[in-house]
Amino acid sequence: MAAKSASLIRARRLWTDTPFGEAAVSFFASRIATISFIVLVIICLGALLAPLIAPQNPYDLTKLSILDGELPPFSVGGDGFLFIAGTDDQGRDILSAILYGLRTSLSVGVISTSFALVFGLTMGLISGYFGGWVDAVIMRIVDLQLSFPAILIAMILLAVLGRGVDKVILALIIVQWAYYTRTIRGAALVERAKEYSEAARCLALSNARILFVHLLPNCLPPLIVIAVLQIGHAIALEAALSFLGLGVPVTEPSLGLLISNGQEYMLSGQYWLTVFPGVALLSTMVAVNLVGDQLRDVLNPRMKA
Amino acid sequence: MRMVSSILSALCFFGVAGLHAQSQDLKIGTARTSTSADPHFFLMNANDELRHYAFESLVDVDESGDPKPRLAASWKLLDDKTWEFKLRDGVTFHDGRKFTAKDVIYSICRVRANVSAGSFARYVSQVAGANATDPLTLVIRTRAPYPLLLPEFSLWAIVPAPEDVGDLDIAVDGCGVKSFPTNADFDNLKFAIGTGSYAYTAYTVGGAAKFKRFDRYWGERPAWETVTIAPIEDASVRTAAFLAGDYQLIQGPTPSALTRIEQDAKYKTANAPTYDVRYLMFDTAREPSPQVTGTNGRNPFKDRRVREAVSKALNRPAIIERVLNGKGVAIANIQGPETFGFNHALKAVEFDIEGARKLMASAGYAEGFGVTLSVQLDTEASRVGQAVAQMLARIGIKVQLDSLPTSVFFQRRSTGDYSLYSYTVGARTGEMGTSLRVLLGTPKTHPGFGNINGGGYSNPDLDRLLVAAQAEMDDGKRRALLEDANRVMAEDHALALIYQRVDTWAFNSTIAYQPSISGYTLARDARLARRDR
Amino acid sequence: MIVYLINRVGQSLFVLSAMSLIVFVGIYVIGDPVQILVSPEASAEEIAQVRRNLGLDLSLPTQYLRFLSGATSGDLGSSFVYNESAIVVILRHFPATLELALAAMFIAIALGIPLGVWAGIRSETFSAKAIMAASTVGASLPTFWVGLILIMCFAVYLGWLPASGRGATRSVFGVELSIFTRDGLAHIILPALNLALFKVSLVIRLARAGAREIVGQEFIKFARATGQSPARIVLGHLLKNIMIPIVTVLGLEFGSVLAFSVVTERVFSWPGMGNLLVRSLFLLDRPIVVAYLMLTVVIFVVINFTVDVIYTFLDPRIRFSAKAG
Repeated sequence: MAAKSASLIRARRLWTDTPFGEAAVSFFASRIATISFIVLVIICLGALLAPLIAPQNPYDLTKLSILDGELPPFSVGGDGFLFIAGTDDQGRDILSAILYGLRTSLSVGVISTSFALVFGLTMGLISGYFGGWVDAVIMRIVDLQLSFPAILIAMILLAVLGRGVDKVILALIIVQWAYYTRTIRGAALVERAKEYSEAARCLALSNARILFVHLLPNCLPPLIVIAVLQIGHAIALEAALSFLGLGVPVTEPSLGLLISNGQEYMLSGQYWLTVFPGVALLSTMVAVNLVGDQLRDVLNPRMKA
Repeated sequence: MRMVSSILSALCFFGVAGLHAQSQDLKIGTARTSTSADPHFFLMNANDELRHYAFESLVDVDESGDPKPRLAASWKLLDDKTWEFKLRDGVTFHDGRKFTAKDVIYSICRVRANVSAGSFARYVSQVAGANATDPLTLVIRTRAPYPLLLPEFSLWAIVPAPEDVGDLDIAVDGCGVKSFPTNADFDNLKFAIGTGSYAYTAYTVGGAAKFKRFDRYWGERPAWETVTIAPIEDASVRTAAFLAGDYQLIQGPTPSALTRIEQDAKYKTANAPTYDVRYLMFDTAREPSPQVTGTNGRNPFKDRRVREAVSKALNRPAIIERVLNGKGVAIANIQGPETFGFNHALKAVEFDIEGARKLMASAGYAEGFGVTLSVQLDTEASRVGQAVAQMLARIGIKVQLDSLPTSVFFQRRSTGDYSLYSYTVGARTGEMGTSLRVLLGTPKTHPGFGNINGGGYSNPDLDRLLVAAQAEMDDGKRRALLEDANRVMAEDHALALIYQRVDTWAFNSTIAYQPSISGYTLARDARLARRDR
Repeated sequence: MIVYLINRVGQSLFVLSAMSLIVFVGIYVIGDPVQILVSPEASAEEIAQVRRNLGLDLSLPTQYLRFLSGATSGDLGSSFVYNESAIVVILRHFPATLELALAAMFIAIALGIPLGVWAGIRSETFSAKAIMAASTVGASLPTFWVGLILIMCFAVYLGWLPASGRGATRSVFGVELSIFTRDGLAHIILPALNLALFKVSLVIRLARAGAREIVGQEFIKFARATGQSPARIVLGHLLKNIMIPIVTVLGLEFGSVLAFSVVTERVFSWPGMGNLLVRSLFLLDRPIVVAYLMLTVVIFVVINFTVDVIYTFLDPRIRFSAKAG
């Protein structure tokens, strides 16, 4: 027993000694951050497992019956089905719709941000490292992109592309990547001037090796922080686009679309159509933002003071 | 949770508390955003709604599709192609000028000269000659016998001819007029002058229009001193603004709020059927059909039995009750009973799931098939589309719903990309022939037919009846031809007609509002309610 | 300075032409505006006629070259829908959006700075934490949802303010503005509040960070030691020092406020540029969309340039050469 706990302590010590462990310890030092992290994990699990835990598949129109439309929470439908959070106008179970909507919203946020991060990162590294005309071309494109507000570009893109989850993701990648490129290029320029980079070059290491093995790890932490916060922005942007009628299709509503579909029912007191999805979106956003804030404090030494 | 609803019902109650009946001022919230104050500029409902305030036409179309006098007091046919109009005496424009036949000819010329995308020119294209035999007598010659002249003359407005305008010759391009006022001249109100019961006092493109009573109006004295009509496109925002007391009268309150509004003594609602009829259109032309799956290349919609099965699978009462909150009527004609040529013998297809399944089986589709249903991206179309998808699933047709922005929807319809789509049809001429022709006519063999026939439907019997009706000057015979055309359409299940839309208006109990078939929100239909208390 | 200017203008011209090309092609790909604009009763000849009149019968490259040659002389084409110069149509909608954005900025500053400063100098109190929590929640709420809630509360329930639309306007130097009439003010409060929501959170954060940094610094300690009242310290020293970053950031954000007003304008039926853009996008009114984007680029360039210039005046250490790259 004693030996076991001793080794456990040792193991924990070892774990906390790694840079990751250190960050984790200081991350969970804040109660608010811990709570939001747990909330976020629960939300993500709900979204991931939606097909397993949702009482109904809200996208399958054959399972819906408009005769069950607009039922208040805890109503029983025509075939004895219990609608815990009520139904929408099509007889869609709101709880299931929220779980699936969460899935759509989160995947839009996460997938678009990750792709934008990877692409933006690559472009930024290339630009910052090679300099010269490569840099000039990439940075002009970035300027082009950044001289417009994201929502405008996304609106135009979606007007061209049409509706669809994949199209929203594509539009969000396009509006986000330049942001990372700009950030990483700045960092890369700084890093390039540093000694280890010079040293690496003296050792005749390949450009690619210098880029990915030496530059990347040094630029990554601030980017991760930005990315986490950016997921929140992406989700909000998707919601706004869906509200304007340019986002996901009506048969696969995201949280934003659920809220926007349900808002007219507020006036008639059928609050469940918009309030429940609203609460889900709000908790997701707050959790993502709080986790992002804490990450920034932990990973960014400048902000610590 | 019950508390939330009771708070919300309280909201609706308090909303009106701060509102006092301003007897002489009417504020209207409409769903439509106009693009100009120019009545000849762009043919769209929003502009047309405003036209009814400041401008008038020669004739009107009444609730049963028959023409009735407006600025023309009477008319008669001199021969098949010559019409004589006696104009109303004592009519003045807002700027004091007297209305004469020359104004009518000038208006025809201006309508013709406008070649914008939303031009009214087609409504005067049949006019071969126009001359005034005296200031109040107008003779119009048409190119061919043209029974639709009067309904079409009800659609464009009379504007005053400038005093210095010379002789107007219809045969010449532009009638010899050097330049017509532009739509911008109307928007800044310099030329927005008509004979209507209200005169413009302010107009913002894309914003509100303001009117004041025209005291020298020839007809019934308007009830309101001033009228403001403001566009609010979103139904829930419009309803909220109404409940907040911003407007005394709104068109189309959000359906879900209707029960609340109807139960509240502070408010009233009124309904009127509209010209709009929603239908499902099948691709009956191609084999294989682009968006049909699981049929080994066969196009099921070429089979009348499948079309009938689809129609029978639609639970119209449920759609009307659940999706439209009761604001619709199941229908069997392509237009409602207010339209000339309505066939009263036809009955809407009954919901019959067993019958539908049998038809599917007899056509060889017992296992069903897959199809994409394309609808325009708006709330009603999307909701009806989802309901239709649910119902067709019950007879084995797996429907993938695709809701497209207006821009894309029309583009794809014109290129014939759809196997199944839903849209609405509604002709303001108040005549069946127009809708049947543009939607179901065969464009290849009949010019001007089938402009929006996105399913490639073609039926020689129907075409023949429509051609005959187009040249028939006798109203009785024409009515019979159109009734017969409707029967042919219904028996062939050319379309699955779903419902005729009913529009709703909500207004304060202090006013009385009786909407007209036009579907427009007009101040002349509203007056102060009599105080009984 | 002159080199910098030329650089800047050159860059902007590049951005302008690239963007116009993208939008031009993009909208061409979406669909045919004529199909939307003409009446269902229009015949094939009528449609062809309309297409000719709008210049849509030409090939795409020809259309674009035509547009470019017009653009160099300041003509961005005529709206398909309004039959007027696109730029005129947009500028007519501009004052409404501008005053909405300015009102939102004003609210953001008026609410954000006091709350942020309070949260900064009393950072350990409950109220400070509540302010920060509220700002996080505020930044997380979807704008359109908040808009509807605002309408429900203040217009429908309390009946204090009108729910939508723009109020009576008054001509100020030839521009129709609504903020100088009582009716107009009543109408602008809710949408401005809605639009300000994001920026309030931003200002609170900036003000808090600034206040925290400055509170610890020598000159504030000195001021306190000399016995100046807390209010005087806050007003005199603190605000002066935190205003510069806040004004800079807000200046840079102004363009995005203009752009994000799209959502607010839809919710409140505000007759501004955003509403116009959404309608034009749905109607494929290409000249309006292109002109709108051109105007946005110009506004952004002007804003960035102004901020740069102000910067150099405020902080002579910043050199133009350093920023030009």
